[in-house]
Amino acid sequence: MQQQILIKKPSPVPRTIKKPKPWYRSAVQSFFFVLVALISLNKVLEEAGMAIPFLSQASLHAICPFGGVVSIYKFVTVGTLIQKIHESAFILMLIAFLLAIAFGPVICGWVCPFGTFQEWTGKIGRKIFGKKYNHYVPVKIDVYFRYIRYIILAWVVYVTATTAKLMFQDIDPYFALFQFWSDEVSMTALIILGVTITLSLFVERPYCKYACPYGAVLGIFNLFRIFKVRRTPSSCIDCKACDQVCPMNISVSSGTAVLSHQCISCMKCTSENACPVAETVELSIKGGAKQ
Amino acid sequence: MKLKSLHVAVITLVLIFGGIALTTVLDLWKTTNDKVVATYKGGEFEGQSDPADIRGSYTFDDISNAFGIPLEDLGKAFGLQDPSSFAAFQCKGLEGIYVALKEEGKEVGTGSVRYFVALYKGLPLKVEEGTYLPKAAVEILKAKAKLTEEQIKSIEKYSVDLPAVSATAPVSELAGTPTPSPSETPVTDRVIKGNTTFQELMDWGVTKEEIEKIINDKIPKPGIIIKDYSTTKAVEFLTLKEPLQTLVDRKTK
Ligand code: SF4
Ligand code: SF4
Repeated sequence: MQQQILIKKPSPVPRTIKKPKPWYRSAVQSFFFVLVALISLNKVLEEAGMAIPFLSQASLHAICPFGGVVSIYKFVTVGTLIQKIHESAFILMLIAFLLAIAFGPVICGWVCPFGTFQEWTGKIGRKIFGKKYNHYVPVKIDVYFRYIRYIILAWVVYVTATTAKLMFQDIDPYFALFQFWSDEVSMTALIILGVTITLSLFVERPYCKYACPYGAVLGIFNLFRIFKVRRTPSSCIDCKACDQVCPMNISVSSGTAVLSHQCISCMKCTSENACPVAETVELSIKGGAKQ
Repeated sequence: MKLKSLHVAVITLVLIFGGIALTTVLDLWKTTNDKVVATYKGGEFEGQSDPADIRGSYTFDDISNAFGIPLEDLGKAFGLQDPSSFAAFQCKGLEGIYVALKEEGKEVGTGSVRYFVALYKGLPLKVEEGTYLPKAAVEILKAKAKLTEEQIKSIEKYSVDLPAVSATAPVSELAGTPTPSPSETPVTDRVIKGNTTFQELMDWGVTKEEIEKIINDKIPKPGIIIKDYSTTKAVEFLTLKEPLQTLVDRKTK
């Protein structure tokens, strides 16, 4: 049997601190979840003449930045957006890109209600399976599985460009979740939603990891985002707390900056959260070589 | 420079809601298709609806409302058969119907609707090359619009002969030879192809309910090409085609 040799570093006096975990992300996530849920509901209420005042009566498509992404081709070639997509989706797409250039996929980690929904479902899984949770898929195959979302992205963009219709709606579990009562939701989308919920009990954010085409687009920004999650090896005590907590199973402790296309900028790994040593994992502009 | 999660939270919220607020002020934030046709910004026609802004998603009803053109004229001009389908018909549907013309460099589509509207109302419009009008549209214009000799000559030159005014049938062989309308399609030719629409099935005697039973859904628009519909629903065309063809065959027996 192979023995692992652990080389202990001379421990620098770690400035570990007991700290209250910041609640800002959860607050922002809950806010957007409720907002989107109310907006989808408002559309129904509006049709019944009971719309909630001051709340947008937009359709879900109008507030989904991915709608903007799938429209790009048509917009460039014909100058119009695809069916069901409105200017608002295009504007949100630009805002999301701006955020991604600065901080990576914050939309995934902070805003997307479907990501939040998976995280919440995952809490049940974590309760049931404890430390095993989110570690079921063998790393060797998992690495490749994580690229499936790019294949889905290419397919969605291709079909949308050729038909100029929002075909993604028919397989979109996010749409299914917020419109499950409507007859616009296809059976396929409902099945995908069911599968996602089930998988969330074992794997954190399964849809984000393996299937989300929008996550795939934003993930690319991790390669060149301005503010990166950076680790300072000199103060790191190699406890791997950052790796443990990462919902996307990224090995933060093995490099000096997170460049993985899977990072969702949740900041769970930072010294503000999991890392016990102050100023060791941070969101910053400078320092840190490539991972 | 380092940022904490509070900073990210604030920047995210400010950018999203600031962006929405800013674009609302600039009148760019649109969550609905309000279908308000833009108006001429100056000159003799200032304030009047500009046909150049007619988009593919506009229905004949939208256009009729914006320009005060009777729905009947629009529907008949563009070869729609069923008057009940005039209002909901979207301009972009024309491209699907007259797809074969495109290969000959002649286009009957949203551009043609713009052209028709402009001539009908005597409004200026820059017409794109290759834009054609169906003969029926030319006749309506000659009867109802005030056209100059030159305009009449021009539209006659740029018209396509669609002797069989069909609801939504693709015009397959337009090179001069009249295409029979769907209802006149010889019974033996009633085969569902890649360009067959739901409307054609209905013209062949299949009822809407029968089709909806098979597709397990409401027909979004009769003018939709069945193959396109199957793509959007991510189902194999064949799985729809076969049972539908059986229905058609049953009707023709
Ligand atoms: S824990 Fe860190 S590395 Fe993992 S997704 Fe969140 S920010 Fe990225
Ligand atoms: S959490 Fe990660 S970065 Fe922080 S000390 Fe532990 S291994 Fe090092």
